[in-house]
Amino acid sequence: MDCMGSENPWEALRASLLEAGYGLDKIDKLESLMKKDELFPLLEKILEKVKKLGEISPEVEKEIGSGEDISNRANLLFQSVKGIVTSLIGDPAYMRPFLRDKGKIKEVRRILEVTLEEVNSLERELVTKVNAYIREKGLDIEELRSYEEIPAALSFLRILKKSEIHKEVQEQKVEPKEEQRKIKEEAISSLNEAFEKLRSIEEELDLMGVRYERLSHYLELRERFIERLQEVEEGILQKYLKNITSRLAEVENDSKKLIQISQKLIDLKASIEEMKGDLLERMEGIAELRRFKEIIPYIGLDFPKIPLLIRSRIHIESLRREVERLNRISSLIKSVIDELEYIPKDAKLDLSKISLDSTESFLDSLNNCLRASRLSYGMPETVGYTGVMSEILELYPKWREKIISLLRERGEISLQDLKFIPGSWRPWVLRNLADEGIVVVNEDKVAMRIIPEDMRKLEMEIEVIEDMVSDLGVMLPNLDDMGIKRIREDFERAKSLFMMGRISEYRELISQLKSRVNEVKMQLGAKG
Amino acid sequence: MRKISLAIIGPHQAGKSTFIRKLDPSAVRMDYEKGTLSTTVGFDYGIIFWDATKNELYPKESIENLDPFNEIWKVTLTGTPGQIAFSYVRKALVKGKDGVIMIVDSTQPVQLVYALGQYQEAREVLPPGFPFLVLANKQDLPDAKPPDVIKGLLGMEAEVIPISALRGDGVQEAFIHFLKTVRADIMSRSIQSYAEAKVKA
Repeated sequence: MDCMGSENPWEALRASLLEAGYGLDKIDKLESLMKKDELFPLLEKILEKVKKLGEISPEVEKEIGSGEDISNRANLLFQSVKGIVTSLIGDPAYMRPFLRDKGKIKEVRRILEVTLEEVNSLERELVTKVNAYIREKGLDIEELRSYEEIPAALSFLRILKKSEIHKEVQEQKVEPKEEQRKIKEEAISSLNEAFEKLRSIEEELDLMGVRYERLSHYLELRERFIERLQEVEEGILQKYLKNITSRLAEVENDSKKLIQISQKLIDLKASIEEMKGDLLERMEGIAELRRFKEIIPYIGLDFPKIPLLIRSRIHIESLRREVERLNRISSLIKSVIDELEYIPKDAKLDLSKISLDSTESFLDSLNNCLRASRLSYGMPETVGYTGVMSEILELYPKWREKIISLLRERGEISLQDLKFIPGSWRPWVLRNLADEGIVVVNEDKVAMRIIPEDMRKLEMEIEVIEDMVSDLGVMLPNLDDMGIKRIREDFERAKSLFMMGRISEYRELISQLKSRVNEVKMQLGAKG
Repeated sequence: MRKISLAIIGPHQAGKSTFIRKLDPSAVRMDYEKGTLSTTVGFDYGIIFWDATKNELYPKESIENLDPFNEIWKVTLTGTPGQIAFSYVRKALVKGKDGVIMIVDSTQPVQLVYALGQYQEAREVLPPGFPFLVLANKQDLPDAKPPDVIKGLLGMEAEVIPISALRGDGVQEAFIHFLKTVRADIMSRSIQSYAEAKVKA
């Protein structure tokens, strides 16, 4: 393990990031961001524990011939943590302040928490192995209380080995008496019963295509457990039996939960398959989608498979994530089917906009394309038929709000940022916003229209006058049309002065304009 | 800022001025001199702001209270002279408007004939299907006919809403309701013309 050689495992990981070509600044930034997001304490804890496991498990292996598996698993966990850290440092969605994705932070925290839980589980497994070995040597469980921690248990192991007590214990073995034999037979029978239950669970899982390695591991140890049961002293027989059966019960419990999850997964897959059929059938109906058939297999290719190997809790967690992912896919397929309900049969689809990166992105972009195609379908004859009018009227306030919030956030946006609006409707939406006096569109850039408060109010008043003149001009023969036009021209000049930073001239002109506007208002209010 | 122009039609003394002034207390009163004759005809002109995002009305004096990022519409209300003789003035005032509100006196069913005449005038100068609303005014008076009776007497498929312009009962609600219809009509026409232009291009 990379982190073993160093006193501080985080320093070791930093060194490996440096080796991988990341600069010190970037690594420091990652560290500070992880501290800010409270991910760093979790990471440190995992690295410390993995380091400890990496040091101890080979020694346990040397002493009792068991521990290699734990060492390998700890190494895998370390590699996984290293992978997470590398993915974070290389991800702009994490490293750049304005792109930071809270969902990602949450997900990483969850992965780290699960990893820590798995490391703790490995520690417990190691302690249990050492203690079982010591118990096997005939020592009373009470005496082992102080050795529940790994280092202490290891020290004890060393003492045990040096004093060769275990040899003496072996020499002291006596033939079991008749009564003892009976008790042992009963114990073996109850153990066999527990193993049989596990065997049938394994068969059930096997039928679902699921293999739970922890369960298989215990089943493989069946003979060994029974052998040891025959060897243990009468005094600790019951305790030994209780210890084994409780571990078997734990595995049984986990396996049953796994069966439940797997059943849910299989049901979900079945309903997705059903919906896929429905989806394909409906797509067949669209004449223009012939080329689409070539893409359809992709839906299947990337569909999540039930993991064939479930080793431990971290894998169950990933199974849970898989179920969540299937749920997402299921709802995406449903939305595509819903969209297909409304799209006219001869509508055209822009295939270049469909992403094949993953099932989710494929379905998502397919849904967007269908929607866009529906909204832009054969305009204008079918505007009523496709319900586009009511759709646009309903969506416009939402689009408007989103654009304003983006502009407030960034000041300026590009047309590319308006992906939430079907391409053919973007100019219409922007034109409306420009008519409202909220945005200014310049080529492919959209910016907020900046205008000082007093000017805004004055502009509104001028607009009111202009409206009155336009509405009532015919009825007002004495009104000075030209005078009002000049007010508008001077107002535009005031705007330019403001933009050029000639503030005192701007203020003077605005003040003049205000009194001229008031004069016209009086004139308009007077009898004609 | 976007604009909605409305014409308020209705027989003489139906309550058009009261309605406009209820919405815009500082509405302008215009007197128009008819040709060389000394007869004058008066009508009102009001302006009010509608915040479509918050669905609230603001008088023009409180421009500073408007949120510039909300969807604000400037609404102009042009009252028309009610007398029969001023048909051509009415047509000139109604032409180009985005919608028409017809105010009738619920206590004077006889006047509904004149109201129907004014509706016909509006139809001559506005495109088919223009937004139209009938307000059955003076509902506060004891002999006022209910809106369904008014609707029956008018014999047209228009929405009839009861109000009392004098007391202000139902005025804002009916007005906002109509503004929503007009807004939808303006937006729909804009969508339609945009779509047509796109197809031509």
